[in-house]
Amino acid sequence: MLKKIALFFSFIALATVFYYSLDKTKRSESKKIAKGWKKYQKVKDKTVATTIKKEELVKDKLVQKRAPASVRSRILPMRNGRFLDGAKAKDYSNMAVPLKYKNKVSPDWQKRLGHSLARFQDEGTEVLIQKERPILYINKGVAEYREQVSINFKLPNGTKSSYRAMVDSSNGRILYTYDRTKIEYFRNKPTGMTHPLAN
Amino acid sequence: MLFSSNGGKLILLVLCHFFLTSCLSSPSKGNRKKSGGVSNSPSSVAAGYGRILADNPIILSGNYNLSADTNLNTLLSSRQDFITNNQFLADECDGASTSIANCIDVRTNSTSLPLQAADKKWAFQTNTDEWLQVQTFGHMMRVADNFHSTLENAHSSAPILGYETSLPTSLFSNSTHWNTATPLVAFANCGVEDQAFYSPSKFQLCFGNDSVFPEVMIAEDNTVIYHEMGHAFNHILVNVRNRDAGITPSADLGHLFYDEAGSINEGIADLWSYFMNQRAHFAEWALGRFANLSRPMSEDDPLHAPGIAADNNSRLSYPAYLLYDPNLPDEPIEDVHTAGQIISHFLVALGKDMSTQCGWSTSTSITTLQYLLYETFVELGDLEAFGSNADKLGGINSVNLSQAHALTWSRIANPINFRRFTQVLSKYLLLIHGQAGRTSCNSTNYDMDSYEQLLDAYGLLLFKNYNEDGGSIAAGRSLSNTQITAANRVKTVTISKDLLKLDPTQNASQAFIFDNREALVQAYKSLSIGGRIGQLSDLIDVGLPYNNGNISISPGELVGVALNLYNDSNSPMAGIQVLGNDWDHGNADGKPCGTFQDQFPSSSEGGVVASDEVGLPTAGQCQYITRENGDDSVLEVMQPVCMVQVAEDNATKWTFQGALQTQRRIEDRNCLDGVGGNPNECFVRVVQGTDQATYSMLNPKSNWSSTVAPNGTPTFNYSNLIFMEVSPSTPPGTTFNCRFRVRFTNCEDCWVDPAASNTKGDDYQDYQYSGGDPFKIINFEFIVID
Repeated sequence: MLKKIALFFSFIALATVFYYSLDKTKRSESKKIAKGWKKYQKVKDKTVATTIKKEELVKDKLVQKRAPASVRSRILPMRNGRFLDGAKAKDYSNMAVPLKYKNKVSPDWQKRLGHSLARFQDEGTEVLIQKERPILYINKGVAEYREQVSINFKLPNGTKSSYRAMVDSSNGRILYTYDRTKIEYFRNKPTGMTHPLAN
Repeated sequence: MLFSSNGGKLILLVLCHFFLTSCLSSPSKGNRKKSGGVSNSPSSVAAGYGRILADNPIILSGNYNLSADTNLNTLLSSRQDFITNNQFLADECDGASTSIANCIDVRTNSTSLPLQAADKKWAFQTNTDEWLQVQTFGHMMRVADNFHSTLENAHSSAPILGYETSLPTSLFSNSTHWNTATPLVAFANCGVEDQAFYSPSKFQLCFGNDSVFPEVMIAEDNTVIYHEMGHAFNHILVNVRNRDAGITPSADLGHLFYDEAGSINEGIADLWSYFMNQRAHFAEWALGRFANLSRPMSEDDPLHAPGIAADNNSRLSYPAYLLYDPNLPDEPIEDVHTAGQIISHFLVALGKDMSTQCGWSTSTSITTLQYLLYETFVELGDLEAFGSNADKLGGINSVNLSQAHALTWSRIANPINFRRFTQVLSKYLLLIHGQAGRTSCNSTNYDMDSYEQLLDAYGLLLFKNYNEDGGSIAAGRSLSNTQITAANRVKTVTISKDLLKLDPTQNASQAFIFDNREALVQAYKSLSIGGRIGQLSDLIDVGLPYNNGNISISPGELVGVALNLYNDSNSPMAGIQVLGNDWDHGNADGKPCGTFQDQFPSSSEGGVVASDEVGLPTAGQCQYITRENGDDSVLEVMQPVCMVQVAEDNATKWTFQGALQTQRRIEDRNCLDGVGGNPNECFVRVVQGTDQATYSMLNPKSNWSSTVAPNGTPTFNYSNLIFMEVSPSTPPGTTFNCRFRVRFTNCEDCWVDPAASNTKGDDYQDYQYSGGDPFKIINFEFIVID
């Protein structure tokens, strides 16, 4: 009897040790995943969505390895965890102020965005999307859920490009883009389109 | 045991030394150039110091045929240059009395470790990556410190001078004069060929190398470093008020492959090289020596073609020299860099004029130019739409209509162009130095007549007044604007918009349709990667299988459209813009307005005519222009440009597309905008982000093709096209009419409201750009062919 009890407790002890070691591996792996980022890659006419590791982002110059020494962040008005944007939007940071909503947040907005950006691209093209800020845009008392994202393209030939976009949270549609990379070509400028009546 | 003996300790010491020294970055073996010249080794400098090239290699050597494999060590001065007292190649930026910590950071490329010098000595042989990083860092710090200190001085001067400044009061207390979330990171050798770039989203600079002469690194030329930093500064400046207000998005100075805002951006970026070294020529080494792309900034530069000179009869004027590249003077080139030269030349000449008139040193004149640019860009980029602190306090949207539509206004409706830029810059010159009572110029005010004559010599005296009252509906008709002296406008030519038309030549196409599958797929991919274009409708299939290349518009296609515009005047037109965005051309009942100059469509064609509306114009009527781009009233609806012809009562009428959808009972899911979308974009719609096309200039009595390619057929840039999607459910044989609005920069009646009660020629107020009055309306009619 005592032997059985001892065996039982030994098993429990071993199982516990085994569990925590696994969990630690999972936790250490999950720490390597970059939060807020998703990669959409064109693979054989399909778009495949995956997470992305922080080290890949550092390698692709999308984040810095070394954190900035000090960052002074401004306190911007928020409501329900979303930054307020729009003229006089800060008046609505008080939850007591009523608000009408133009749209709703769709849980797959990022997926729809990623797929729509990747679908026309060549196989092997990667589209990395980073959620930067959840936004509540308010115009004349009507609110619209939006997402501020960073969109980064990585082409199979190594070319990269990035910009920011404001996205409709209900359907992943880009409302407008900004902060686009300004490239100066010294030779081999991009070709345009041949005159349709040329031939 | 081994280490208990003295011999063992010695072995341990040797081993430790070996391993420790191997951890320090050792000079990389550049395969570029031979060593020699100044021994730029750590032992030759003090802590915190190194050596960088004082100017670019061409200037330092005096040899315009300098070889690509020149040993740059021979061009170093024995004088030491302060680099940084940090161990890593990163430092703060210093203004006159403020600083930005963690401001600039340089490394070779994204995968390299930050360059570290434990002894803080930054001297390396010039054929190493380490030296290239130090060279890049040293010049970035110099120009950044200049930017911060001059901006700070401008900010502190404004309240003393007592004019209405655009610089926010909290500019430095809120640190909105820099991106403080991350340093500006530069990659001195980022591995791209024939490129340099600035990424605002990452706040990064990248300097590549020459593909033909790979040993030539772009960052070896300090003027290119200053130019790229100039782009960063321009972007920061147009967003100062936006950062201060904590709003998104960001403004930009230049949005398309070719537009005048982008040209201004390039001209000012070149000018940053002039600000730093007072030499009116840029990039002799990196661009000039091996690619023949260096650019002058003054008419007395020997590179210029004969006939260009620094007198008011021979200036590099607008628009005559918009397509002029001094390296290829016989070949017209539509490019923001060539067009930007007009701005750089004008501002260098202005600086010289100020030195002459006011007795200022060149550096004082340069500082003055910087102040003017800071004020100008900060105002123009304000997406909160106030433009100044005073207007913000008063709630007056003097620029860019309103915060809700500021991005559209600054990019499309009332964009930054040569006219608007020079008008605002001139306003600040007037306020700070030119108005009566100012004494900065030899104890008196700067002579504005002389200034207007200089501006006119450049063809840039395009405005009739300085528009101090701005564009708001509240205050934009104050009657108090300073007028230009009409007699000063001699060379600047403005042209009536009526003379811009579709090519009337017999057999000429009214527009060019691009529908080649491969070309459109490539165009869409490229525009998408660059962030220029939005997503296509789900109805447009991947690979564009419906695109048949028949240079007509068919169901299911993605097409590019370039109107075949013609200049029917005797003077060149410039800055031509075709707008394909939604505008106020329908009434509250959803009927198209026929109340514009062309009076199309007529009443019998389904349009609303003036006689249909009685009394004073009210919201919802055709003769009433929406005050807030459709936000001011539920009766005001902005309509997409493309109307459709429908059969009604044994006649054909023009209407918006929703009527055809209803008539044909087409379900929403078969419309481009999908379920819940805009029915007036069911069949044909302009792709978001490509809702304008620009053309640099049209020669007299010419179209664009013959202007830019007089001896052949031109290649169209993507900015020359408006892209449209066509739903596969569009009935073949359907006739559409897209009502594009067109105008140009040197237009007589596109910017000044002839109906203004202020008869001195006040500019249109911002809200009026929602309507048709400032534009020539071009009807692009086409039939969708199966």
